[in-house]
Amino acid sequence: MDEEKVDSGKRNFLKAMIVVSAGAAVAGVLKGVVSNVIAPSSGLTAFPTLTLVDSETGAPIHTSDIKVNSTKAYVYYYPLQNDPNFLIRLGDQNNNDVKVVSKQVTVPATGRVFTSAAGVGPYGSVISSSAICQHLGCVPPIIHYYTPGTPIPGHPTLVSQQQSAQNGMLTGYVHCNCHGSTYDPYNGFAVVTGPTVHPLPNTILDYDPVTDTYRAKSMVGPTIYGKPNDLSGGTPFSSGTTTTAVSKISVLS
Amino acid sequence: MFNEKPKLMKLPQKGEVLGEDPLHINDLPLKKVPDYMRKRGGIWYWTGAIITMAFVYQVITGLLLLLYYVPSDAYASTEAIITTVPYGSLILTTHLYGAYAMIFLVYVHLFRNYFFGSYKKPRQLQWVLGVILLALTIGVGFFGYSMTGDVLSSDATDVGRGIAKATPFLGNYLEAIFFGNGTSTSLFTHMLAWHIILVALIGLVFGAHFWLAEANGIMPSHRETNHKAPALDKNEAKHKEWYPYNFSFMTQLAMFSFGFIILIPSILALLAPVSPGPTSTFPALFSPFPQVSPSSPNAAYVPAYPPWFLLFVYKAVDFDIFAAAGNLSALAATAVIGVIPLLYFLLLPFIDTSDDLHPLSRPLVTSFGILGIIYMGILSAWGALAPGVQIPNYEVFAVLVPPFVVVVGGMTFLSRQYKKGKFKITGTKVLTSFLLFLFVMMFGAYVFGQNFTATLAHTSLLNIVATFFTGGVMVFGAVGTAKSARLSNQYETAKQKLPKNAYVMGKNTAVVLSSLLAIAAIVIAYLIFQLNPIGPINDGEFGIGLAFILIISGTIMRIYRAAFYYE
Repeated sequence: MDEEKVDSGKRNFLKAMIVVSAGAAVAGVLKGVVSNVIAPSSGLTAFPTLTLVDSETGAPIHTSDIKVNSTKAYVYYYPLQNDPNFLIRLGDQNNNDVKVVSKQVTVPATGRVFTSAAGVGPYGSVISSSAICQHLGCVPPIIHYYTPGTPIPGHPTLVSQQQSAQNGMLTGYVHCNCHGSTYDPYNGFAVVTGPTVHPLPNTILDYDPVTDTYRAKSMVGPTIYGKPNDLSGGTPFSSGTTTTAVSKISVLS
Repeated sequence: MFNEKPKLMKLPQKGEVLGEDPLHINDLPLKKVPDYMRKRGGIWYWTGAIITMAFVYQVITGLLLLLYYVPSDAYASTEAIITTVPYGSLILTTHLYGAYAMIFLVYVHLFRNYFFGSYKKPRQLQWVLGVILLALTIGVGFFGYSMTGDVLSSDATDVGRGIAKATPFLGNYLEAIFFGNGTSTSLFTHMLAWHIILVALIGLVFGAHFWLAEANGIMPSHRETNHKAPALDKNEAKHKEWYPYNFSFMTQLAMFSFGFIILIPSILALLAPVSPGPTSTFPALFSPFPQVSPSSPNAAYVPAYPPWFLLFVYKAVDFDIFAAAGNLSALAATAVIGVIPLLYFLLLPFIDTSDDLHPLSRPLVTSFGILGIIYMGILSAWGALAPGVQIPNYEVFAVLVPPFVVVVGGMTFLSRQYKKGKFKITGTKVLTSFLLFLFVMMFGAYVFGQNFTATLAHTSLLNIVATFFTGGVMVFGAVGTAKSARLSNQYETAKQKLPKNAYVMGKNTAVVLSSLLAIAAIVIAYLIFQLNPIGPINDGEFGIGLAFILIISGTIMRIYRAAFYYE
């Protein structure tokens, strides 16, 4: 009788130990699961400054690496890892660099005006913008740079209009083949033809003449398509990242 | 006295709140099992249960990962899970190793039931469903592995696509069905979708598989059925209740399974580099993290491996025989190495319809099983050590034919002896003859290894293969030795009428041990709760701690069963 009592006491003690240790396990699992399902706020508090590097070699991009009026699109990601941007060295029809100055650009949708980013580099011809079409979010190579004089589909008179407006000088357009939106990189990526009602957001570049390198610094203009603001709604570069790779994408005109 | 069955109290006794079995687990349609399945050596009856636990673990962690995976941004979102999501690294790495565990255990389960003769009547359809589950599991593994978007997964995807595309007539449709329309987003969205669809199918087929397992009843020990099908459990009414005996056993099994699934990748997470570079020496095959992105300059330093569970198919593609098929080489290798064995397994219950359950009375079936394991091992090791090296025909035969001759010959000889009654499973003679046979077999393998090296020019490669072969035979020998030791043990047991295979522990020892372990669990819990939930190193440490707590819980359950159930 006594032995049985002691026995059941020991039994209950062991049961309690099982409950304690299993409780610790359950607590650990619960902490893990609960903290995990609460999505961490992603995004940044400020624009990062990222040096543009070659995606193949990892070395910084120099002016000579960017071809004037390149028929391939130079694309890099900024300010988050999933925001593509164009890098364009703008030229005229003879492939001479064209200096791009800041202009007042109107956003047709709101009427708001912003000051566009000026071209940088030794000739003031290197410019950059978001590569996501502001109409419905198409990305390169569907949206890409059309070299000077290339007719824009559906707008046969556009080139001659430009020629007369710019005293004979031709500059290329950025045109999206999804629905036909056209932007003018020479004029702060302003809207040339619809259906878009927002210019492409301009990416502000910083040029270091000593090392001949380019850095993406911030953005102006409308918010990048499909995002609540430029700094969230995507995956930030991991902390400590100082570069963003520029890759060459083949495009079909 | 150890066989005495502790009394069950159905109603709450004085001082008890809930009484026995408050959840009415015993009313569930679960088969009761004999005691020996919970005792020493009984783990072989539970390989399916452990797979189920790994599957449950995979579904839970997979659903958590689904909250954060972005198919349009596969690689970056996978990296973000590791570096920015709380416990994301722990969940991702253990999801990978849970999958590894599940695939490995599916093979263990398959071969265990293969050698045990479980595919015979009345379990033919149960076996067929099991083979389908194997194919589905490997499919899920392939898609899951390809979803990270790292350089290895890109290679795997390309190979999978190539094989799908090379299929005559259906190629383009198969590619479009499984891999989308060619854009990256379509590709990853499709792979995510198929990963989940196939898991859903696994759930369905598993339901049927489990139903058949319960309906056919547990397959009792061969001793009870005298090695003859149909192997049915005729003593079910005499077995102990499911609750608390099997319930506590299953809980213990679950704690150990989850514990080890979490422990191994968590240790590796501390050893492996999160983003491997040119100086990294950690083998990519075992890293719990994705490798670098295909566009990274370091991508060139990662050898092009498929996941380890497909390594054997990967090596076969290098064989000259298949290379002759040109564009179809990968498809041909997959068909020969993958599809034919699968078909063999599917049809096996309808080919081998005899009622013999003993492995030695089915010499060809047993030989093919052993050969399957040996070939998988050889080809996998070959693939890992010499990836992408073209292998001439004579070398393929030099490596693959000797095991065939040794195994089929040896088995046929042994089977004859067994059928003549010279190879009886009685007494210490078992041990002697087994050891003798294994010694001969090991010696033979050793000689073959020497022969390879001497006769062929590719010394280093063949050395490795020969060594592996010898190693495989040695493992087989060790298993055989352990098995025969157990058989002779049972022979002794039968003589003494005392169950030697029960684990028994003194009650006082149990109290002291369990309290120490519980204190350790609390201390570990306190320590890991201090860790920052973000980052692979913190998560690795948290995982190790959590795994130890689970293993401790399982151990206390084990102690409880030993002290009070004498199991």
